[in-house]
Amino acid sequence: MKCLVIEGLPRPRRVSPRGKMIFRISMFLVLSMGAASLCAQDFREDRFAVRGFGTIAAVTHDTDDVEFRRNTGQSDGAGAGEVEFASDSLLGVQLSAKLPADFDVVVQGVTHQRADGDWVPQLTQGYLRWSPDDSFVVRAGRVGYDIYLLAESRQVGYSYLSARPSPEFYGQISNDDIDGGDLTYKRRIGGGLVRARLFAGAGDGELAFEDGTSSESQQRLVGATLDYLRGGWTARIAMVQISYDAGNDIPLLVAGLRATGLPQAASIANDLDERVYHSFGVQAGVAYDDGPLQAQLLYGFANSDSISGPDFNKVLAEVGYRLDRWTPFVAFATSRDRNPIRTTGLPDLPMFAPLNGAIVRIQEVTRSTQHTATAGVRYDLSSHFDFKLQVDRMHAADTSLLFDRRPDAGSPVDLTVFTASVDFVF
Amino acid sequence: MKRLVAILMLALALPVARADDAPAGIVVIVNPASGVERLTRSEVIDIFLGRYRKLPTGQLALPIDVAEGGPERAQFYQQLVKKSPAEMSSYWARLVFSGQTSPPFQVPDVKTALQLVESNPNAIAYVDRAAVNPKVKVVLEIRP
Repeated sequence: MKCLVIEGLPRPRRVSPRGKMIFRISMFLVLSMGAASLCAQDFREDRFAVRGFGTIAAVTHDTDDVEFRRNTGQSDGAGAGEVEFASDSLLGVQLSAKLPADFDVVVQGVTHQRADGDWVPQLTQGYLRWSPDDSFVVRAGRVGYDIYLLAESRQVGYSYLSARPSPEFYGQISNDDIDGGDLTYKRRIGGGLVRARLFAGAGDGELAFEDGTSSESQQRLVGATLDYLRGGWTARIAMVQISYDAGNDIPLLVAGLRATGLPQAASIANDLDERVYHSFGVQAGVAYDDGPLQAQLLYGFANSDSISGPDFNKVLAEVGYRLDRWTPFVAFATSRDRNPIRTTGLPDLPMFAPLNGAIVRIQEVTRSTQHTATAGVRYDLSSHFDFKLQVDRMHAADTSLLFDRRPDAGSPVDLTVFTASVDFVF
Repeated sequence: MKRLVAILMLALALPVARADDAPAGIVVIVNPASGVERLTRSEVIDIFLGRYRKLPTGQLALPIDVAEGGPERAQFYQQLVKKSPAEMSSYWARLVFSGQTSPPFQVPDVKTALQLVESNPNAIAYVDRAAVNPKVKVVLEIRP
């Protein structure tokens, strides 16, 4: 879910060679095989498509010395009284080509604010798909994995009601895609449709810190989702296990803690003294989307075998009702850490400051005790554009989503966030 | 009194006359060689919303959409799933950009949709009942 960074030792970001390779292979497949299909005469023959999506959003809030972020992978947030366009704005383009023998290939790039502050486009999808009869689908390459219930990507604002995905529920997710693959099986049962999916792969998670540094960690994910769809109802249960390396700086930290001889510090050292950490997450939810009514209720929890991973419970409820082109909606989301931040027990002396600071910081990056009540309205300008206005009232007791620069930083804070956005697809 | 009865009869007849003038309604059609006799509303929803594109015979279903802006398309989705064109566009944005599936193949008009269904046993489309010809088979009538 995240990586470990000791004070003063941020890891530099790097460009993933695996990502470059997947991009080149995908582009080769699209350009060499898809382009030949431009003159397709029959719909069973190959097709080539260029599609895109984007959001232009303005965000502000009312609490001084606090920056509001959409997720923990953003380097800058919106400040009080200033209009910030970088938080929710993004642009994505997708190229796809249908190939012979039930294959197709998709390449998708997205530009948005990254953990190091740049907007370099990121390859979010690049895969080859084989679907012999729609009961069975296999994808290999860079694929997205199921995060959403009603909208299956958190980057396509046009596909969901609110201006942004719930920060409580999705703000801690540090990547949307994996290099690997997935396998989907579908079957009609009892008047409805059962859809099961297994996925596995490796992904790069990005984290941005308040001091302007950022880090990138490699994670291995294995997971499964099981959906049942009937009429307007969708029920889902999803599970994922994330494994990530402890990092080269951990042995030094562990040795330092043990050298103090204090049992409390040694206990934390034992917790951290692993080469690989694991986090396990479960999400269960039900959604209704039929006619003008759209609603969803989600519950999720995460457990970790180390203090470096998340341990929290989350709930999200959202409902919207369309009235012609207007869709007013309300939502409430809450997340709560199950354990307080553990401390070394070492005195607050300069000689122990690096150890004390490192241990607190390791845990702070996944803190998520907060709740938000949301009200907003979506107006569909056309079948390709929407306009949204949204107000969020957030109470944060202990969260890594905010950059908190108040004199009493870390104490509970309330803020009201105002958002106006335009989403589009083409 | 006779005049009042005549007015009442005229008033009662008027809606009937309007119904006679209205479009015959949207129907779902397949190729007669597909072997499909009937489809349920749920099966049609699964096929056109990209959830499960298989015909009851086990064959792959290839759904066809008439171009956006045409009355058939708006009426079809409004009656099938009570969704406006904007909501359907939003729905497809969910699936397309998460790499799940593609929207139905789009043709410019009903005439082209009919031609594709007539020539392909896997094709499935929707048309106004008045456009149905002997070379296609109606498998479901969409009612609001």
